[in-house]
Amino acid sequence: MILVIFTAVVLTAPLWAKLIGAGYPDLLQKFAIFGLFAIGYNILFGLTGYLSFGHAAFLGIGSYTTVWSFKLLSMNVVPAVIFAVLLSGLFAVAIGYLSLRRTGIYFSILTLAFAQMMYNMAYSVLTPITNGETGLRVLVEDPRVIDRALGIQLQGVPLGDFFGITMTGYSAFYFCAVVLILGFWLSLKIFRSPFGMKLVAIKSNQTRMEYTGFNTRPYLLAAFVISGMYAGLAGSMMAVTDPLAGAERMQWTASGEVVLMTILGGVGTLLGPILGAATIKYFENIFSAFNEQVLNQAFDFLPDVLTHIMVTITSPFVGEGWHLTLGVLFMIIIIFIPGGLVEGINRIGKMLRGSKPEAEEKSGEEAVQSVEPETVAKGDAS
Amino acid sequence: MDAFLLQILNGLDKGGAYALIALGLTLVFGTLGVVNFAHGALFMLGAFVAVSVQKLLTISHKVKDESITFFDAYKETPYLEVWWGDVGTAIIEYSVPISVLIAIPIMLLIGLAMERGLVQHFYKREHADQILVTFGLAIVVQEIIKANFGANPIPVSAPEIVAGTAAVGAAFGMPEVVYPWWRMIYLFFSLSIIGGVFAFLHMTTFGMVVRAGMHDRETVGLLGINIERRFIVVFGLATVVAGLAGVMYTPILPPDYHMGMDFLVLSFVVVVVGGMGSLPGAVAAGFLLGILQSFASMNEVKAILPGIDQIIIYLVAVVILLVRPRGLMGKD
Repeated sequence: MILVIFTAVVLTAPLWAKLIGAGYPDLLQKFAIFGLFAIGYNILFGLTGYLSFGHAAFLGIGSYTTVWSFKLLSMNVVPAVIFAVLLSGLFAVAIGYLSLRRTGIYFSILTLAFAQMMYNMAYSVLTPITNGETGLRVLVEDPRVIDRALGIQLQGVPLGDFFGITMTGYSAFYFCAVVLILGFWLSLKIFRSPFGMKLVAIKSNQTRMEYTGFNTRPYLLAAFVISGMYAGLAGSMMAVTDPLAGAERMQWTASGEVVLMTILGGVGTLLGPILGAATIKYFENIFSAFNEQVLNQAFDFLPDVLTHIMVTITSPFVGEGWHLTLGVLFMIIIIFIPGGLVEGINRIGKMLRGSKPEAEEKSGEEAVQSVEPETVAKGDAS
Repeated sequence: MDAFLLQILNGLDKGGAYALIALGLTLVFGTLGVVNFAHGALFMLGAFVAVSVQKLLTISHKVKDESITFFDAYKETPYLEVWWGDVGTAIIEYSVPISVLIAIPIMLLIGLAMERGLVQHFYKREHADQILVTFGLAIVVQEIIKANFGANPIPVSAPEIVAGTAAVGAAFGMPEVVYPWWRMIYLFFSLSIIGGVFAFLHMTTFGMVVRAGMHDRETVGLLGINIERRFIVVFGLATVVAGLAGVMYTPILPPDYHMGMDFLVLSFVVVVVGGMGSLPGAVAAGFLLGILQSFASMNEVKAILPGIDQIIIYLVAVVILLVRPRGLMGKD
């Protein structure tokens, strides 16, 4: 049921996104790509509680692999995406195997260290592979063996294609949308499977799980690898929609961004991460386009003095300073509604229905835990 | 041998900065149990105190330059010079040392405000929540600084008397080994701050209570001591240490708004390598990683292992965490 609604909402995105001023393909592609990234991240962080600060590395691997596949094999996106997911999965196995030997902050630092190493190497030593600061691009004179063999000639700007459909604008969005829906379907399956339940059990009490004679390591590793592959897929989508890969998407701030998205939307919930990703990307595009003129128009209905005051107050929060809005919003979410937007919506829903919201009576720390049983309950419902 | 000594010297001042930030992080973690991701932002704020002080001192008034007649040219003279002549010039010259004095109360206030306003509500929440909320705070602080000071690095000059380099190697018959005076000052400054913090913790009654609280908070509380109030002071102390590290670092590296994040990531690695909660571990790991980093950037080393200078710190961190889970000096 939820999958049907989700599919409908995603596929009709170009229609309703116009209403909120987001109706252009570039932004919609970003919604889908970062939604995918956040869904995958949520499988690790939301279900097991392991806070990884290194997922951007897999994003970068996915992008680089895709561009290399474009360069060497074919402009067809199918092999490119498959290679990207496999390779990022491979890296995730190696990094996850080592990092998961530690828990808590030590795990976070280990993933951060691995990701930073890869980022720094992509900038320096690995320049022959990554093309350093310039970024890796698809060129007309690249070999592309399969395309050559089939006699496909590249026309104009190199763009990815899906058996004849060029990946640009809305066609690229629909490609991302289909991948997003598949990704969402998989995460739904994982949430509602015994495997997902075990991950949640690890989050709530790993020691107890181990005392019952349960080896948690393989499950954690599986979750890590799956979320790494999601990240690789998202990175691959980035390169599919725009055949370019740069090292900056591997930096730890990019890992931080996906953490923000997941938290903002709601950790451990199904829809939360996508909601968070869409919110952040939406504000990034909308807010960063604002300037004082727009503000002046927005507050025009007020008396002159008030307009001036309002513009002065709000102007640091928009345009270049939209990160400030993000930071403030993020802090408010963590402090008051640790369950993110999803919990916020639930609370409002409860208030509207007249029953007293439970979460308000509890202190913040309990509210965090109150999110988990809900997730589990959702899993049971199916 | 020359190059060897030179690299050790080069690593020491950076190691000093790492050690100072890591010391504050460890203090906060050891006492209050909070993982503070905004600690790098405090380092950056300290640096911007120095920038602000320099800007305030050099507020100038414009005088028409009569010697140029082709167009309207203006000479800028700082008011301090106009009012006090040579004394004013000297004050401007010593803006960084003055900033150190000014930064102490400012950073203390910021630290206390941060603890009372935000961090105290997060003692009982998970480490992940603490990391995330302080990360959010770091973004906010960073953006405020960016909005006020712009995105470009702002150079701050050290007093001219220490502008040159010291021929430290001359005494050992190695005249090529030179070391900028300011870096040497930074090294001694960081050593004395570290010494001061340790002396405070080990030689005063207050420090003794804090150390006891770090071991067993509950028992100290049962003895009728308000341990939380003392831990708040420790938080303030950690803030001041980070701020001073930032102030003094400005002549070495012109501060910009994201320097805090750059140092934070490395300092966290330093703390973890030293062992979470171990103060001597943090200091030792800070200097160790600083020196290792500068060794790794030697051309001879890079010829054998290309790119090692970029990853050495993370590599060491990974190896240590996998071999010694609690870090170099952490207790199990």
